Amino acid sequence: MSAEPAKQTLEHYLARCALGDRAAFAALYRASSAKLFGVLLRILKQQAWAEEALQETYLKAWRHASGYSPARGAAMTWLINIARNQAFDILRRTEYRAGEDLDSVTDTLFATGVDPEAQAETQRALVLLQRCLERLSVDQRQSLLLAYHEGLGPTELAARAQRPLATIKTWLRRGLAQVRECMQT
Amino acid sequence: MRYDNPALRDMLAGEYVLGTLRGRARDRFQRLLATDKRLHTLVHAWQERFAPLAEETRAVTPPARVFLAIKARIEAAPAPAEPMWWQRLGFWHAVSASALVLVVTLSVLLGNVMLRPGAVPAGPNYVALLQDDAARPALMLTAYNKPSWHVDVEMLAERRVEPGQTLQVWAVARDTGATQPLIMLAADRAQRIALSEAAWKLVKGAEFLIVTLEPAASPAREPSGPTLYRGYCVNLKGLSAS
Repeated sequence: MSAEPAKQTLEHYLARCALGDRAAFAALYRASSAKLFGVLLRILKQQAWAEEALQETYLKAWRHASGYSPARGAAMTWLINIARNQAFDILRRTEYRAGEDLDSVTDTLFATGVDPEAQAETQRALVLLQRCLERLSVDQRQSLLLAYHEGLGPTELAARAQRPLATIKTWLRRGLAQVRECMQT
Repeated sequence: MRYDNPALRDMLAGEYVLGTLRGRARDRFQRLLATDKRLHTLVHAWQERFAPLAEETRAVTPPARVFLAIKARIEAAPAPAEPMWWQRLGFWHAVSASALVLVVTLSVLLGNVMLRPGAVPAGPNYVALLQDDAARPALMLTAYNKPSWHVDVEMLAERRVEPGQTLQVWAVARDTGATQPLIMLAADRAQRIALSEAAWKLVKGAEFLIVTLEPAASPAREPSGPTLYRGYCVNLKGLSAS
């Protein structure tokens, strides 16, 4: 008999990180850091901040790897959430906004280097979400996407859309409510 | 703001995940999140809904200095609150169902390894806890590079081995999946076995270790019998960027 090579997933690396396996941590970084760095750069706009946030993200992942459980969702989702929280912490601290490039909102390049099965799953989830987003009004959809991808807050969205803050908040809340309802069905 | 209205709670969770909950409202929400499990569930649901958007974001390779900085911080003196490496093994639950048994077993055994007179003061470089098909711990190997390459073996389960047979430990390579013979064991006692440089490399490159029963007389090149035990080979010290 010959043993099959283990399937190397992020979940697997995280499980080993929880055991203190540093080689697995390096592998986790190699397999996921470009994706997270892309997410962070898009929100923070500044290279130095994105690098700082990336550092903090992986230190947290290392220290809290034992808090991750595959039963609660994909490892990439877990990592993305740590990274996004880190980005918003930096935004909170600095109240800085760089001059954003709005064109990047529509740019939807797909990254490579992901396990094909996981990617197929991601594609299905993305199609479902996009179908739901398409049902929103343009204003609602743009607000949600700008907030999620570019890290714009309500005030910044109001300035961008030249509409009152209350209007923006309504767009956001109605948009969220509709997305939730749509994704339940 | 009221945090007991279910619809409002869910909306706040959505805004938190979206990133539009800002300033003090975000701080308050985060404090609440730390203790409110059901709020956590709502947040998690929103994270799952929006995660595909983040996943489709274009990947950008970060500069090498980021990993070097992370590595330096991890390798810096661990904070006193940080658990000993063998206590962290308690988190094996992520990969194994029989968590409690393993935690207790590992804590006790590794505690012994650390405390045994004459033992190497530093912890092992690698540890592998091998289990049988029923996920019962059967065998523990700890590999050290000081004072010279060697592996300590603890038998955790009794195993009758017929005369003329031996327990063979194999390393299954992380990169290729190749199975190569590592060491042969006596079935009935703890033992320390010196490793050659080639054997040490096998340990370093191993995804997991397995044990089969083999004829003692002719060293096997590949396993001829079923796998008796199997366990991840965990690297406790190495951290390299390449």
